[in-house]
Amino acid sequence: MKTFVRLIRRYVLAAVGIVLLLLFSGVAVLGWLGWQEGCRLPQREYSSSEIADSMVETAEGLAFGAERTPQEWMNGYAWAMVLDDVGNIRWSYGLPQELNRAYTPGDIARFARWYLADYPVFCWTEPYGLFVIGLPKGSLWKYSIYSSPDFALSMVRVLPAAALGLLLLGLALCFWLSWRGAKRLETVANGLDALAQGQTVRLPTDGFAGELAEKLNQTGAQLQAKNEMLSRRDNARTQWIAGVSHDVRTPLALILGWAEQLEQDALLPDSSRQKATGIRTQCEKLRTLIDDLNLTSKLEYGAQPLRRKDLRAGPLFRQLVAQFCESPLAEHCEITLEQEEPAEQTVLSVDEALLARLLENLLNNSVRHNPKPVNITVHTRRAGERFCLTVADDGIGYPAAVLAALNAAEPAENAPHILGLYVVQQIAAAHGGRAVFGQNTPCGAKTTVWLPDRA
Amino acid sequence: MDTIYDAKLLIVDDNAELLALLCAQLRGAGYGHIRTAQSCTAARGCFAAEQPELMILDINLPDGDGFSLFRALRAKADVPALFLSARDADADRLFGLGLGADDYLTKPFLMQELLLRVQHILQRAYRAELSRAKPAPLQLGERCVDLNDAIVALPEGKTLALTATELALLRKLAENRGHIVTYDALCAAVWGADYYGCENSLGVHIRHLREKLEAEPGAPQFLRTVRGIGYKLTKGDKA
Repeated sequence: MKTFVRLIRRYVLAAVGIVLLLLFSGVAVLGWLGWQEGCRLPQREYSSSEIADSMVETAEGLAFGAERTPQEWMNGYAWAMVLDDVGNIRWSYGLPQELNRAYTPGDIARFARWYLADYPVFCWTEPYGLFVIGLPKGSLWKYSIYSSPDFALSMVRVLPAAALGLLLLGLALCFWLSWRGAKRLETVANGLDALAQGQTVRLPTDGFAGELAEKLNQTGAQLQAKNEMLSRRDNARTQWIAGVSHDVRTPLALILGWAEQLEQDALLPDSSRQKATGIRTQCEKLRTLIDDLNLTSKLEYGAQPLRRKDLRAGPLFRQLVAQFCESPLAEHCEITLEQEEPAEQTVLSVDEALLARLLENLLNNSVRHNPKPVNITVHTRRAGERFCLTVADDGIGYPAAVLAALNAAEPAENAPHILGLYVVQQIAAAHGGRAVFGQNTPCGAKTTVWLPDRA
Repeated sequence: MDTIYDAKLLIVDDNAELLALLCAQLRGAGYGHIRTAQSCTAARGCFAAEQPELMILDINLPDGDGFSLFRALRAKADVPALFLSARDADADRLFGLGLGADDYLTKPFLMQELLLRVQHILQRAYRAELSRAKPAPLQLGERCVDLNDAIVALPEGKTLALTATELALLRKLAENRGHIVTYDALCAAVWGADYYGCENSLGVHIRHLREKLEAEPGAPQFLRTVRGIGYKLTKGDKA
């Protein structure tokens, strides 16, 4: 939905921008037109009032002010005259022949408002009479506008509010239109979300976004087909591994049982019993390998459900370590469990069987990959919001190739076989944690597993 | 049944070699009454002829599956059962245990593990019956503990009485003699499941118990500490 909010905001801002741009453009165009008009109007050097005010009484009668020549005063005008109180011409300049030489009050009222024989005229009442000055014909249009004072005032008051109202209306319209468009696109966006989450997409293909929806439907169908194919392949692989491991288990149980029998047979010579011990040990390794192979394929392909339970870390790790102490492998090591008080009280939300497998694999690894008996320390502590399990030994440590393979993003071609440790990584990851493998100081291997509590 | 070794066992598995191996191991461990069957039909026959006291059942059988067989036999009598199968999927284990089986062990398995599980099931299922037979005294070197009377007999003829807590601890340790018993299991045995906060008291009671059981309580020979985990009552003179 954030996309839509952004989209609508962008539309509205664009609309505001456009309105402001139009407003400024309008003002600019009006200004420009006015300027052009000013240029087109006949160039008059002096205004009619200036000329009227400049008139002076002389001995010969009225005359233009002496500071300019009559031509300079009349530049841009056609003619001028002064009427006395009864409408007779007292003085004139360039008066066309077609004009009367005397005017009634009615004539004066008409031309003062409009034209005199099509000449646009301006009138000024002066002490010496009525000064009338005419412009060339067709050089000016004259209009009269009438309005009541209330209307004019109310126009002044209402105009800004009306302009603001129109602007808001424009914005609201823009918001509504963009919201409608966004709503139509929302279906497509929901389809994209579903697609991103690997779900099936079946969008309606009507409306203006129909073509887009159709393309999404096609993409979704293709992705679904590919996912199904991958799922079938993963399933088949997991089933195959599970099937093989199942078929191997019964023969292995027999070999293991017979080896145990031979190992305990006091009538056999020591050398034969030692060989039986070897067979049993190898069988146990094979059993662990089968379990790891089965588990890793299930974890890899999401076929291993996590059965989380809230468990207190203290009793859980005591129980798990005690189980290991009871196993034959424990004869080859000294194991110490150290739990810090906060860690002991931590409640972990874990799959108990998988966590047992994780610890078993780490302990098995310490015992099996060290020729001499080792001291193993299992340590638990809290680190902020996380629970930290460390399994460290004083053996020969992880070979460099093993560490490189564990830290590699992708398995290398000739990577060492580290199935058990890989399972540790997978189990930690399945619980929302991670496993870090490194060397212990001064010697030995050290694995730290970080788990979120109540993950 | 005086001891668990008097229990009648019925083992059902389609693999004759595995059956022979299991019989040999169980007989070697002391179990004297063992019947075997390789199919559901044969298992039903054995069950009808003589009701067993523990069933060890495979799941994949030629004429049916172990789950159905278990249901059919359990309908007749409440006999404890352990599934022994190559099917290791969590779903199978949960289904089997959900049906009411006492345990589920996947193949391949260590024979010692199977024997221990069988022993625990029988002890648990027939505790009342077994407790009617007076348990043998617990011999710890030259000292002998009578768990019924809660008395430790010293070599010089004197006796020491055990408190109720000490007796409960010793019973739990004796039940698991030779194996580690965690602090949590011991606390639960004495104070019940809601034992939190009693862990510190445990050390005090164990010290008192050692003073009664051990010739040298400072260097215990029988009641050993497994650091960070729990305690262990050794089987002999060694851990």
